[in-house]
Amino acid sequence: MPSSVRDLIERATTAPEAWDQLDRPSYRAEHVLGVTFNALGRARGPVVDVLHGTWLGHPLHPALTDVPIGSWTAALALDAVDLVGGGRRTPGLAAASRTCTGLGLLGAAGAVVTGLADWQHTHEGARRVGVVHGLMSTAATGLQLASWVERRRGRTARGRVLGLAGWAVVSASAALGGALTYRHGIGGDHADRSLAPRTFTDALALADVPEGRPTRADVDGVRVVLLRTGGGEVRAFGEQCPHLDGPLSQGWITREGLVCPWHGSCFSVEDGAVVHGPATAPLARFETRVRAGRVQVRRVPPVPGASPGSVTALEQQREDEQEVPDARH
Amino acid sequence: MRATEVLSAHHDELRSMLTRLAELPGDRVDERQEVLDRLVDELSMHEQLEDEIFYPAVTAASPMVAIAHAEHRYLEDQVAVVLRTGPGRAGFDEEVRVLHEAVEHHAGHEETEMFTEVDAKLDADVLEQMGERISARLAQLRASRITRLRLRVKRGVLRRTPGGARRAG
Repeated sequence: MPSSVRDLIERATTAPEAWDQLDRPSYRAEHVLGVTFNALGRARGPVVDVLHGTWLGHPLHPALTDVPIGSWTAALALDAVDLVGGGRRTPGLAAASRTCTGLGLLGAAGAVVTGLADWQHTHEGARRVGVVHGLMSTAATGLQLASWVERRRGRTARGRVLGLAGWAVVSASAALGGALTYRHGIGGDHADRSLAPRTFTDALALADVPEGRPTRADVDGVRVVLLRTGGGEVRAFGEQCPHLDGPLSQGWITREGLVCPWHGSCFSVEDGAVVHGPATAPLARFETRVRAGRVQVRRVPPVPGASPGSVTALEQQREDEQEVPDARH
Repeated sequence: MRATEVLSAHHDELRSMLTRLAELPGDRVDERQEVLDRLVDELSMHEQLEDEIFYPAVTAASPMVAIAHAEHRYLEDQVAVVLRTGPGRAGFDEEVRVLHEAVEHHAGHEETEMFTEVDAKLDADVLEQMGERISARLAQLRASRITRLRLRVKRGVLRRTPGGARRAG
């Protein structure tokens, strides 16, 4: 009955979204996390960026979770092989299984810290699912720790039972983690990555773009944020924060870049690269030019040579040929 | 006063403290520290009032509560940066400007969107009662020795974190 399995999983992974009694303790917990990170002083920014995966261009947490899940699965498999062997036990298998359990514990420590860092910037349904995911993963880690201790004391059978229980709990927790990624889009890229507009399109009058303050423009249905530098140059980026779709035109500019007003992600005003997380993906980029006092923008394809980006590149080239070459910014 | 009016009035107090801080000349370090300390305390109490009373009561009426929580978090982080930098060091004015931008965004966002929505959806009586509760709680927090001590410890700790103004280097 595949559909009833699907319904069951659907119910189990969406149920926590409605548990709003989790909100108060979860905001308390976030407060404690905030104080803890701020107690790091100057080191806060770099540490938090490492945890988010800003340096990697990819959220670090889902990459680390493979370590505990993989190691504990390997431990389970080694236990099974050893048991199937019956009387002829291979002495190395129990030791290998214990090592795998321990390795998984190290990975779990990293997964917990990175997971907390990402979780603190989530909202509503995803935040509640995240609480349950975190509690289950912590419980699984506790079971595996108990398993490792028992295995070290030579109580292998007890260690195996605890390991199996920990594996079951972490698998269920991983299902919630999957829902957070694939359903709620946590860790995903929320920027508009379409190729529009492919040719220079009218955005705003230059006079309506103040210096030092981000300004929103809607260009053929694409949300763009315009920034005017001290030198009078206008830059354009996607208006949606790649982290969780925060409105960047309502943000502000610091020495380091453009700051998202929701979670404080910071992006370079030179090229849209991430300066500080929680975002891990760069801003969408646009070229700008000024014609008759109007700012016009067109998309910079992420990879100029790739299809359908190559079509864009051709269109852009054709458009440029009709223009005075050095009139562009 | 309605809850939304009480909170808007408190926003204005925060705004005027931020303006005062920006206007004080750089060499009047002690006065700047004094204004900053008061601002940080009032901002903390403001967040506490919203977190404890206002947001839980309006979660059903406005979809913006989660975002408002996120904005509080940013404010807390920027307050930590401002306190760490301290009024006697280069970069203080810039960090205060960023805090001002963030407070203005958060307060403006609430006043123009969330409060209008809440005023339209909740009963006037409920809002009046909530306003009284918020005013009373604010007066209580301001008078409480425990709150004052907690806020002083918080400021002291943030000033002494690595890279902080009260540390050498």
